[in-house]
Amino acid sequence: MSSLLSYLYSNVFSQFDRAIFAYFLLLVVAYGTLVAFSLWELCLHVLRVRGEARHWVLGSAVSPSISILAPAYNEEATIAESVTALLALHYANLELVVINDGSPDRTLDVLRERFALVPVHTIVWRRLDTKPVHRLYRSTSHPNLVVVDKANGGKADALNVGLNLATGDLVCVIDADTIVDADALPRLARPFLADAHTIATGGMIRVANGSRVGGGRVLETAAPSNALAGLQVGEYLRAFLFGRLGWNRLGGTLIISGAFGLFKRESMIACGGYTHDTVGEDMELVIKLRRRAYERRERHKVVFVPDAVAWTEVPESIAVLGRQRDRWHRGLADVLWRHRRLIGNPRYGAMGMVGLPYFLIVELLAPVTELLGWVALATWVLLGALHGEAALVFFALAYGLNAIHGTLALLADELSFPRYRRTRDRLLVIGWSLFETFGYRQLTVVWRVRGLWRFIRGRTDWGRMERRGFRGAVTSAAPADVDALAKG
Amino acid sequence: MIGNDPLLAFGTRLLAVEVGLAITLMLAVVFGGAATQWWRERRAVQQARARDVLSRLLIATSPVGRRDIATLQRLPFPVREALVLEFGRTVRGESIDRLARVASAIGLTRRAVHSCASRFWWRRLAGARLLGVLDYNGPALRALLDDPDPTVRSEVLHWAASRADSQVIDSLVARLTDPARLCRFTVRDSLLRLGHPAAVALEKFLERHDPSALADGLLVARGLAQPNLLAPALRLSAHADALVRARAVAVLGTLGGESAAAILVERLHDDDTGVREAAARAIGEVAHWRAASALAERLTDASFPVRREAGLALRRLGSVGVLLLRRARTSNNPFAVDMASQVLDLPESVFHRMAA
Repeated sequence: MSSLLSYLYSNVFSQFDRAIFAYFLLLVVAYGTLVAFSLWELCLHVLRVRGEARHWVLGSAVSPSISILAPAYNEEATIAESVTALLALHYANLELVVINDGSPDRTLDVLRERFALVPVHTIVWRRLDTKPVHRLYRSTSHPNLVVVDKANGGKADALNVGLNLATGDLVCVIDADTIVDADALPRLARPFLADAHTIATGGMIRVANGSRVGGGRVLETAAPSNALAGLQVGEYLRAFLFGRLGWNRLGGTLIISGAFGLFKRESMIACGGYTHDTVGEDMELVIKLRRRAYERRERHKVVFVPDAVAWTEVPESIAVLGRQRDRWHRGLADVLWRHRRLIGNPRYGAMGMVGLPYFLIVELLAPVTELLGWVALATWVLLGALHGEAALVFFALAYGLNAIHGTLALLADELSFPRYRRTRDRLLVIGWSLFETFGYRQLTVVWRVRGLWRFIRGRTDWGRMERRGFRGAVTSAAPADVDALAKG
Repeated sequence: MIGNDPLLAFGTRLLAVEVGLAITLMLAVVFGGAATQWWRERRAVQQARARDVLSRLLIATSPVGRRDIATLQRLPFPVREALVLEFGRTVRGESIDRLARVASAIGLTRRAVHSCASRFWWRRLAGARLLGVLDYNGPALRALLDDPDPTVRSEVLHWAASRADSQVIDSLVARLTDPARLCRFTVRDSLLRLGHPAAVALEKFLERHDPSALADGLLVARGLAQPNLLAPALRLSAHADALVRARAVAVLGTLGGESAAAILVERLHDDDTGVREAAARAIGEVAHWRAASALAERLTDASFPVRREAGLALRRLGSVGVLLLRRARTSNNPFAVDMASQVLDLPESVFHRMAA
């Protein structure tokens, strides 16, 4: 038995553990680089915006016009408040396009009553192919509000209809339930003023659970007391501050959250708008935009802006969170598969040589490697090929790095654009980020591996999402089955 | 066995370092955060007191008192700076002069001037921001008009809008060709805020032949709408570059006149859709009702934006245009029918916004 073990160890396990260890080192280097670049970028950004006056950009006659696209599906409980808040955003030249994506509830009726909508003759400049538009409405009380009622076709289709109707130089894409900070738009638009080559900017998404919300605004920030929501606070901070900001220095980010992003309208239309048959439409759009720019040899920039903040309600149930993470990972796998020819292709510059390989090796395969690592470690310990303490040290090292990564994100947030005012909230967030290592992280690994498995099996549905709503009412959102669209 | 490996000992030591680092960072978040919060709250109290003192100083007619200056001088520098920036952006006229005197008395101006000469861009930026709100008119700020950092340059260009002297205006207009987009944006905004005094320099600028610079200049000309810009706009409405033609036509829309109207009608048949769109809009703006039938023809244009602008322009012309829109609604051309129907359906408030 012992000879078999030593044969297995020397011929199989040792190679395997070296591979796992090498991968672990690669992750450390990749995350370390991103953290270093993010901190540098954050410092520069803070220095640049400190004491800045945004009112002259807001009031300027030469500021670019912005169209906000807000797709809505079964949002009757919150739509009036959301639209009122969006119309009150601090930006002078603003148009709001609400797209009712065939909601079976009273979303459209609520809009009609609250905003004095009147139908106008329905013609749309069809620059992008979409599902049929039933009716177009204009508001007599809010001249910059456009409401369109269309056949259900999913979020991507709804956004494409919005793109057909939008007239702004820039298009801001948000989820109908996203709460946008009043001054977030001028902040998000700043890179477009600073550089003519900017084609897209993304804002910071923060967790709204636990905070006091009223009138479509976050009135008082607080850390969530719900464990699952609390665990996601640190995760979001890490993902945005370190996962996106560092890319500003490394050739531009590849993901702009579908919950809050600003794009050049003509660039979006030129690249064909959102792709219908994917669950990762936000990442897909950014890659398409950049791919087109590379192919036409145009200089371009995609920028993450850390002080432009939008708030979202994160899932508070394990089942819903699992479906969300599963879908995100399927989306990532799908997008990387669609653009596989770009990976490692020098023609696509930093995106092909750095961005996409990073997303493939570090983001897509990380959960698989982590799962394999657990299995291997457990096997070695069970077979006696590895001392339990060695396994513990390895695990502690890996998760310790994760804890440092998370805490560093909290510290960077605290020193740059802090939102939590009370020590209680800071303690809560740190506490949640410590617990993230025990159980939550493992769960997300399982969900992500499941997502990858489902992608390989060809599953492309969104899964049913439930939101409690900021007033506590439970609403459900299940945009059209992407499968059905692909077949149709 | 891995367990016997010296790597284990190394791993354990590394883990100890890691734990130490993690604990330090956590303490930094909690205590650093609490300390920052305490400092912010303390600063808010100090600021509130200082705000009272500063408000009193700004509205008083008596000379600035030493006691008040001493109160302000006791504040930490960032509090003083934030306070002066806050007041500087909200007061004008005599109050700005008083604020500048106070800032000078409490040592802020000297420090800001010193910052403007720093080799670090963020210090120059902070200095320029402070001096800019104080309406400072010394060489320290003017020197930054050629700063290598676009953010610093842009800050100074913004300040320049408050200085109507010909040297600054010429410098501003010349900056319409600045390589940094942020600076070009600021220049356009500053020239628009300057208004009439900028028109002469802009007229000269429009004699240049670089299409992108001309297009930027015409954007400002449209906002300024000064009569001396009519001649360059008429000339440039026949420029080879389509964007220049479109922007020149837009300027004609704000200036009007018989000579402009004839050219606008001609431009309705331009090869470029952007120019046709601008021409349709401009005819609506100058309310040239004789061009109504030419506009009605554009309701069948191949381009959607041209049809939309033609429809809006017709409605803007009043009864003549509305009559033609109603006729178009019953015509055989589906494009014209659709656009006329939509434009006539638009609520008054929406129409005014779209036509503005």
